[in-house]
Amino acid sequence: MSRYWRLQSIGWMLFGAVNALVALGMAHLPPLGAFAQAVGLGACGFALSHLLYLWIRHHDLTRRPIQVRIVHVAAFSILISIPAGFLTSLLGLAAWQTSDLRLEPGQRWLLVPVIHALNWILLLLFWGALYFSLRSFRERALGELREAQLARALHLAELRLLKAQLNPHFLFNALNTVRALIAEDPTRAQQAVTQLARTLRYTLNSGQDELVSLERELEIVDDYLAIEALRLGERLSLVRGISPATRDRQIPVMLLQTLVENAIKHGIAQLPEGGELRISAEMQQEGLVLTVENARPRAAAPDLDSDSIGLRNSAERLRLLFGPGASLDLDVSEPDRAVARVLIP
Amino acid sequence: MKALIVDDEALARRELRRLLKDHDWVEIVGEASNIEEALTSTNQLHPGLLFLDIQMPGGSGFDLLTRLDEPPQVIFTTAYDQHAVRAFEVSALDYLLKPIEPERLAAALGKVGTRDVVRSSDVLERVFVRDGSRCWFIPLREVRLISAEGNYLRLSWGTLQPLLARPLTVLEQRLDPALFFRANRSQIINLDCIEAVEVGVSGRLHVQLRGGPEVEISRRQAQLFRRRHDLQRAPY
Repeated sequence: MSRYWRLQSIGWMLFGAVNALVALGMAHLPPLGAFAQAVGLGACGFALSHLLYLWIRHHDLTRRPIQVRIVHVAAFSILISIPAGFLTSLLGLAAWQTSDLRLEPGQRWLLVPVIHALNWILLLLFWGALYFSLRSFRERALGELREAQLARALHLAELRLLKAQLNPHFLFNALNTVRALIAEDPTRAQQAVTQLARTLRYTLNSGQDELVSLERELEIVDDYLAIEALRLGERLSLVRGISPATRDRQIPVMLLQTLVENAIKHGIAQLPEGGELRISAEMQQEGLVLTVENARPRAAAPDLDSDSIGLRNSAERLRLLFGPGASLDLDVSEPDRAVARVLIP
Repeated sequence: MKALIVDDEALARRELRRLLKDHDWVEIVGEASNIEEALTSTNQLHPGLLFLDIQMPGGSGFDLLTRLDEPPQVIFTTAYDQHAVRAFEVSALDYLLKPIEPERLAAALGKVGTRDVVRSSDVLERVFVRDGSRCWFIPLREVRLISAEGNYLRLSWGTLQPLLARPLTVLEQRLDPALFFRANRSQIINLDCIEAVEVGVSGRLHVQLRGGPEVEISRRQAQLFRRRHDLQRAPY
């Protein structure tokens, strides 16, 4: 049972009970008459207020300004209370008939119905006020809850993003490599720590700027590849073809880095004998063309889950920054190669 | 204790070697950089302990275990796949997160020490099975029933029935003959798990396994079973 029905039932039952007590104690009605009147009045109040509720719902009054609400509730209460007053006065009279009280005809047919009607008007106005205050109270509580949930969801999304950016698998493997190098080749270990620090700093700051020069991004790609080369040894062979004219061009930050990470993760690192990674940048007629090409295992179907989302995000970001002329495509039509191609007009 | 290091990164293997110098009872008999090499080395060198990386090119550490007839004790080493190792229903000895802490390594090796590592005979003690994303080391003495299903064997183990890719006859030769009995052409039962033996109308023996199905013993095997269990001429 919903809150509305629960409150309605309890409220009007209490109303009926108070009525019965008053009728028994003060008006000295016989028990049967008092009981009948109480049930009748309670049911009538329940019905009238529910009609008012339907009226409020029908006109969507909770969303309207307070003046409109007052006019609506008052008008509806007055309109419905006149017939209701007449009806319940009949009920009351029937109950009172059994008592010793005797009423004049004028009282019987005019005064009593008017008093009943006024009573109903007041009750319904009070009901309306109560309804709106409970509603707004509840909505505020719900609103606060929703806000808290939203903040939590946002927080989680940020954390996930940060975790994805940090690439924990890479990070811990790199730290392990550095630990090994400290014993074997301290100079190389120092170098690796510097490269790792630069990669991390770049990743963490990447949220601040949308665009970066290709040259700057390539520096970080080099740092990253230097660390991966320690890990992969001779399995990684790198071919770079960067046309000097492209170095000052602006590209979305982390775009090339993400493509290179994917090429290592799903390509070279999956091959026991390793393979070639080609990175090229050149100016063509349509604009700047970046290509990341890598060997990949034949058997494995191209990874289409988490990283394809990353790829889609990158493509979306590219279009937002450079318009519909910009594009990012991943070509896996060859069984042992993957080619990612970016066009920036 | 003979140990094999399986890791695709040369630096990681050398680092582990260095860390293991403090534990001279662990003798590193070899290294492997992928699961094919690991498979060959394990079959040739019979290490009692594997240090096993999970993510490797050409197949994961789990892939290696499913392909070994008799997996040795395993300590997983991983940079970030601890979730995968924890997913183990019956755990490996331990897992180590890279970079490996010397104290954690000592603790993991402590678990090796407490186990019986001497292979007493040719009896196979446990197998590694994989069912979807779940993996187990299954102690064979806990398996009630082994049934051939096509090229696979279905093991009745607790409430689970995982599949093992091995021919029945091959596995049978490695089972403890005091514990396992070939009931018929396609089934081997664990004698410790017998709840009741009934004689059917045709005189056939039916074995009721605890918490498991009823297995019929073939005519040929029934004589052997009677002899072994002194069911010579029971008064039925």
